[in-house]
Amino acid sequence: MSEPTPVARLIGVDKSFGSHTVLAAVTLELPAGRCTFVAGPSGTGKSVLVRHLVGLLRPDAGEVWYRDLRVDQLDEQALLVLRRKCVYVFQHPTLFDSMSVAENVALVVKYHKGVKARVAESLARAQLERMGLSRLADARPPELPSGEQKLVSLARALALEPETLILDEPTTGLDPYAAFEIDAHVRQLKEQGVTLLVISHDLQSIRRLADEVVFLFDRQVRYQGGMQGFFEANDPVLDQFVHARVHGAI
Amino acid sequence: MALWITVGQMLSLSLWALLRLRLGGREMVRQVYETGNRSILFVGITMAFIGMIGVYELASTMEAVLPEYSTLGAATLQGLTREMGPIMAGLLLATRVGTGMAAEIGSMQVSDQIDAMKLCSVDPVELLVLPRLFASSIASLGLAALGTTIAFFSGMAVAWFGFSILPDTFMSLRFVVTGDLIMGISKALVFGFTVPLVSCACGFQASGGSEGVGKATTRAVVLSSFLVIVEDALITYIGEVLQ
Repeated sequence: MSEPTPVARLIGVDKSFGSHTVLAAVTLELPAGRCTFVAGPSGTGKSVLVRHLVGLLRPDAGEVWYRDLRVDQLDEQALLVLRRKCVYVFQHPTLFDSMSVAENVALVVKYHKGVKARVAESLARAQLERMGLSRLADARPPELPSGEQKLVSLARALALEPETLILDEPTTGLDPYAAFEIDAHVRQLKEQGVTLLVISHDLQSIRRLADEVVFLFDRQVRYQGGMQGFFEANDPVLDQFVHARVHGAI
Repeated sequence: MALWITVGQMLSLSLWALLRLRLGGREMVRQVYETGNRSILFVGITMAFIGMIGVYELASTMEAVLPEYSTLGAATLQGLTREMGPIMAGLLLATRVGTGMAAEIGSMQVSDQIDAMKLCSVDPVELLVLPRLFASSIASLGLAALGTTIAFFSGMAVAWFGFSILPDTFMSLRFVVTGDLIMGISKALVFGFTVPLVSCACGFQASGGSEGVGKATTRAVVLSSFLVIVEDALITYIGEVLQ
């Protein structure tokens, strides 16, 4: 079977905040139609890495590509076009507290599709229904538990009908049932052929869903390859991470 | 420097939106209510005291220098229309409304909600800033007019009970000319535009969690109050030159 074409590429990306270097010469490819997990200890720059893909951060050096677009050189207007194809869902549910759940989703639909508010609202409600979230449509985000807030964030992102979806720690802080529900939606997207990039520490999710795993450590990509290889790699750092050993380089 | 770049960007976007008559519709109406109606009590009480204090001080000085009060009401009304009405509305907006805007947008900034808007193809300036700018300008005009009226009548009460000046004598419009009205209206509109512009920019510049939101709020109230004073001096100077 031939290797899938990469939908996004980072080439030699450096990123520092002040004197603190987070990424040093990071190179990786995101294969189209696959589910890639980015794992690594806390603070290794996983979120920083993926934020480059949607232009939320610009590299100090290196190149960021999404298909044939040079992302690090796009202006805000061009980034809007990119962000309709490649949607990023934050770690914390970034819902707008002053709006209901349906209005949160409708706002995105209205701007994305350029439809009137009433049409956007009915499309938003249809999106919520598809995800089994109709009961939450009129609730305000602060009234919801974090699991449901994350599901609504996912619904909002999916209303954009993205070809690539980036999920930043979608199951962190959730109870096992809510985490399983999120994973079920991710599996469904995977089956639909959506390219997925998931930042996660959740080894169960990685086992359930990952086609590829990228492991970040010490500002660089330590491992990129198949899921099986990730769990069986003969690398003390990966071994410590995978088996949650207290002593080691992490 | 970054703050002033943000202010400049927001200003150009706002003027462009104004030209296209994209003022934010329902959200602007909601903001007029939030900014204007909810400030009425605060502005009303403050201006009532300012009117009483101002007339008491002015009448005391007149008593010592002129012993003649026929111009007290007219001078009070002119001062309130040109200066005290709009500037107090501006400063009270900076205190009550500007801080709220900076805190709200700052919280959205540090919790990634602003970035989330950008990622959802929503322009945060158009959604959050424009309705506040135009609503605040309308509210500022209304509050300045209301404040001026309340201060004038509370001053009239002090003149009557403290200095035995009859309301008929106090209520005189003879010093107030069209130029004073234009100056007062211009100031109210400019202050009403400046306060949310600077406050929202401070909110957008917030970083580093709740401490950053606190700093943005303080910065918003200090900068917008300072700018209200500077703009007041400038408009007064321009008005005098034109007259």
